[in-house]
Amino acid sequence: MSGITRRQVLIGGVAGAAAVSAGVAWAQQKELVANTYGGGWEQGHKQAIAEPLEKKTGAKVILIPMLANELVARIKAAGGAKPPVDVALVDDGPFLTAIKENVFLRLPMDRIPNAAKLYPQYRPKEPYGVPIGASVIGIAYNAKKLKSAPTSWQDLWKPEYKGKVGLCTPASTLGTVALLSFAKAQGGGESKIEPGFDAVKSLLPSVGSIASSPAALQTLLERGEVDIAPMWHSNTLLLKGKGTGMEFVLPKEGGIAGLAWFAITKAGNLDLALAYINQGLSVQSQTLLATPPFFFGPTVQGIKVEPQLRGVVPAAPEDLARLVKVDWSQINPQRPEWINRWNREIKV
Amino acid sequence: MDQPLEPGDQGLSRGLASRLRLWQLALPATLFLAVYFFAPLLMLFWWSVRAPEGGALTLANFASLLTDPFFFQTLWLSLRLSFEVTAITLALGFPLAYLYTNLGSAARLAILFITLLPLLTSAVVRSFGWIVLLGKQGLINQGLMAAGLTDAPIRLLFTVAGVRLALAQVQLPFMLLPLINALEQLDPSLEPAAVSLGASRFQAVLRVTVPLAMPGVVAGAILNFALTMSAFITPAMVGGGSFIVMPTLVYQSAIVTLQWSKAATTALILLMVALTVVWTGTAVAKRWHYGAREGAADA
Repeated sequence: MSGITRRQVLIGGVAGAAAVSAGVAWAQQKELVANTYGGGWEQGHKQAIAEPLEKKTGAKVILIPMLANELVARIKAAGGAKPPVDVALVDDGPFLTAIKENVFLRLPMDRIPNAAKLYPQYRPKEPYGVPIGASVIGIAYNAKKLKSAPTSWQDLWKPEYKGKVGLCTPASTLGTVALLSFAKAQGGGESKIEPGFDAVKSLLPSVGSIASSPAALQTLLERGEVDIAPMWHSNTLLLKGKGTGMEFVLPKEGGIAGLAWFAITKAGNLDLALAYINQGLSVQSQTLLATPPFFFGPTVQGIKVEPQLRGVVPAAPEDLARLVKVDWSQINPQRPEWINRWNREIKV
Repeated sequence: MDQPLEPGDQGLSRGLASRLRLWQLALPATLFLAVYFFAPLLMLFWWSVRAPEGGALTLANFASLLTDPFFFQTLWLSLRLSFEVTAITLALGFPLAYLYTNLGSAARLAILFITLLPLLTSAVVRSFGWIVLLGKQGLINQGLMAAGLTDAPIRLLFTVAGVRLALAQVQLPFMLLPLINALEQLDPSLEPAAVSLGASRFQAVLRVTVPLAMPGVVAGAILNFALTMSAFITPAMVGGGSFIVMPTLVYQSAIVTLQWSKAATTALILLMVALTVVWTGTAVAKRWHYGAREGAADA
């Protein structure tokens, strides 16, 4: 066997592998991976954050659509190895879970200059993330098809909506919050969910469909399979923009406030990740994200929201103050049990 | 470089060496499976026998699932769905495969293209299609109402029946292809021979072709059964949130509530049940197949 010996092949292979991984390391400096939720989130974050940052730094931003729960599970599964994203987008519940699982970095807030303009009420208790957008859960209804507009959660039980009500399972934030809101309307709450389940059961004769995700519920509303449902304001306004006749109202008991958080994973690409977050909190980005078709409530001070969107897009903490807050630190430990119970007891 | 072997050893060693060399061909696949299949399976097993907080070995995860009636309901629904989808694809697939082997090349291409088409579409788009079709405002309901067959729309979307239909559609190719493969290998003169000996065409198909095509039936059935048992996206999209199947249960525990011990245990039980069904089914089918052959030889 002349020519190439086995050892040479081996050395060549190792050298090649080293060269490849060196290339990867270099590329990592120039590349940032972040998740979004798809739909309006993806478009919004692409236009308002990723593209301006790419222009500014020459780095490449890769946005992958992934919901918060799945993301947290994947980061946890990665252990100490490279996490699936550098910057994570998560909502309140999964954000707390992730902090508890210890998968996010304590942020050096001094390196995110725009965070100084965050509304004080929105500042995190501990610096494991910054809020990037405020959302509201209220009632979406089709004004073209329904004669009267709902004003309260109780209205879902009205005979005229029979068969037209949509729900989402508590495997999603939306479904969990709806269940909790029903409980609160009946004198229950985070520590007493029983009235919520009773309410859902008594609502079942009116329920047309139960969706497994907000995206699926949005499709059902758009297709007219259901005409009224607890929904996020942004999904609803997106549907309204398509000319479906969809309108969004805050129930008189109060809608439910939710923040979406940016956090940085451990072993992520820190410099670019900080730049990405800072870009997200900039006036230009926050302004763009607050306009149609995105409608995300700004989290930094001094952002103007179109007058006709006031009352729907949470434009300032005063708007959120009028909303009901839910306590995710109480909900998270009980959520498996709620989901479990829903699986067993709620059937259409 | 190699030393010449002792003459006596040569034959044996050569045989062994060439066989070893042959096995080397399987090395990449073996390594791949070891890393990406057996290792995760071992981890799954490890998680399932550990207490959720880590540490001590325990059977508590199995005990809590196996004493839960709801778990058995879900398992039963998954099993039933898998049997039903397999039966539907077999009932649709066999005549189609038989037709295929008796047609010209253009018609064959059309059959393949039409049945494979759903596989070429993304699951999300396909599921949206089912919503458009099965919904209250959907094509089927509007058609039924226009024809005066029903006054109010029938609930099709977000029902087990809808999921059954959607799974049967997308998995038909996994039944059709093994069946076509089995039927193509049969000697085309067998049926005419049976007919010439006095059998009707139908008898010839039933007593000659079907038994001989059993390997294809078994392969298609195994594929369909396993695919339905593990199907996640179609039940989630077409089934909605009104009922859940085993893979949904695994997903909820693994992703939504981060109860990995429960997820691993559920997945393992699902795997063991599926394997048992597949093994039993194959054994029965084999016995029947060879029994039929022997019967044919006797006659």
